Amino acid sequence: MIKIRPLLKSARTYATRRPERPPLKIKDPLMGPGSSQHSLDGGKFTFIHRKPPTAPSPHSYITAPVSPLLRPPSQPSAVSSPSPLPPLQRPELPKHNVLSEAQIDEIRRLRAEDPQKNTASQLARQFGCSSKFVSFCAPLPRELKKAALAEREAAHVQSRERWGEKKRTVVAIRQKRRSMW
Amino acid sequence: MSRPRRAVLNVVKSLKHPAQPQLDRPRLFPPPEARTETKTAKAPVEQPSSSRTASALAPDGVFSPTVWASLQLPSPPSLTAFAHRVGLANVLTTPEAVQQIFTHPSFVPYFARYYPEEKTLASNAALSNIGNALLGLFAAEHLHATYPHLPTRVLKAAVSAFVGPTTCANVARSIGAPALLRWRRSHATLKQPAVMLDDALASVSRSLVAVLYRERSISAARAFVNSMFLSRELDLRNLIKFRDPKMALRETVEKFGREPPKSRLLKETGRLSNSPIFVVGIYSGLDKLGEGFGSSLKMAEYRAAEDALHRLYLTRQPPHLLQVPSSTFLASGLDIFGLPEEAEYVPGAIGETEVLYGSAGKSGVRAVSYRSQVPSEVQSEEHDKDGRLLI
Repeated sequence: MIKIRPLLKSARTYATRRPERPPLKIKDPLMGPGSSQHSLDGGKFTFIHRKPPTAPSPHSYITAPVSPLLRPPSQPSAVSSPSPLPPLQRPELPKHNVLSEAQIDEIRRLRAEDPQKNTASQLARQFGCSSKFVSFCAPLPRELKKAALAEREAAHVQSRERWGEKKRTVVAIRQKRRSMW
Repeated sequence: MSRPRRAVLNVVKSLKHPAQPQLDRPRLFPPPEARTETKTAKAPVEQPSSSRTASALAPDGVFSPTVWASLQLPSPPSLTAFAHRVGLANVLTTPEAVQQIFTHPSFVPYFARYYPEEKTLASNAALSNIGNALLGLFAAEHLHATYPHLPTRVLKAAVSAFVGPTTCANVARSIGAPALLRWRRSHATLKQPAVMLDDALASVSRSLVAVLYRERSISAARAFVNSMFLSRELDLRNLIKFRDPKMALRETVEKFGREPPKSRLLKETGRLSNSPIFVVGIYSGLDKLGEGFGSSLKMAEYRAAEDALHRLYLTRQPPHLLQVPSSTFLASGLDIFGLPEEAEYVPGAIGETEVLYGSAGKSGVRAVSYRSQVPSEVQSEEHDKDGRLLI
């Protein structure tokens, strides 16, 4: 008697390839562009130099200083176009307009008049410069500055008291990391 | 408790080998002549050993073994062995010379209190003083000649690290001084500071330097200091700390008359992961001043600024070109102002002073180095006969 097996539509008869991660294509650092070979003594020896992958050491001799401050500044060579510099980490800040002496005197007068109303940021907005510049040109007298700092510190202490356990831990961890920079 | 056990042992031994004589009689301590008060009056002067044991009695007549032990001076063979061990057998020719090096001034009155009839011991106070001054001189000039751009506070910290009291004490330990040292601990009083073991040990290594200077020459003392102290390993990067390295770098670059530093991102990976790595370089125009890595952009920038300043401060004179000012002193004789017959002294490069903070903008005339001003095409790089670059 012939047994007829019904065909199971869901079973495949060929093996499938499971989706695999492709093999890592890491370039051998010893064969990279930082490696150079030179033959010495008429081909008897081969001198192989491989640039170390780690950051350069700050130690150097005076005869060949590694700090560019001790060498003349490198000029942009017009003959061969150099490779472009890496991108800036933070964008260029817009240049503020240069204030005249009269305007700076006016800033000082206003600040001395009423430091509570004419704050550094308010004057900066008014004259079109940065608040740091206003603080530099027209610093508060020592007593007023101490009082303002104490007021700010009191507000900070008050907000810190409202922190929970988790917030305190996170801040402490961040401070520890910062100390190990 | 030991005595009964020893008696039993002796009996057992005699039973095992009855024919052998009993050699190990139990030896009593303290010596018999020390155990009675009357011995002090009868002790004759020509027997120093017994008089020493006899006078190690406290005023109330009670013998103290610890006091007796602390008063024993080191034996001459051990002092001679030390001289040979340090390689100074030809300099420290007598045990008395070595004895002086190991006698701290705190020990002298203590010894005299118990042995008033003995000669006053010579202490190492004066030697230690001279040696300390010499160590400071050699270390300061060596470091200043080696690292001309090092900031002053870092130079001072490095001198303390190389020849400070802790280092001197460690060097003394390494040559076997604690066994031979004679000193007396004391707490700090209104008149005098405290005397601890490290202070006493430091006086030993300083005294050695002074003895070499006195017996031989300043060159010999310098060679000794170079081999024992200045050859020690120290990473100066740990001594260079900044409150704000970016500000320090900005002011330093301004002092050198260069373009203000700008940070640029060289490499990054895993920015949105829990372990990002950023490599940031700080550039002045086209020149990369420093490079740093970190797990955040700010951290990498901070390290890059530190690296830029390290590269400047840790530029050193090659060892074969190093010359110190004290080498111009004559090797022997009292006249130190004559010129020696050796090669002419070539002073090293004068480094740029570091930026000063909080000086209200009066940090002095902007001293820009000559080499950083003149472009490379105009400046001719001249070398003298020994291959040194002429400024």
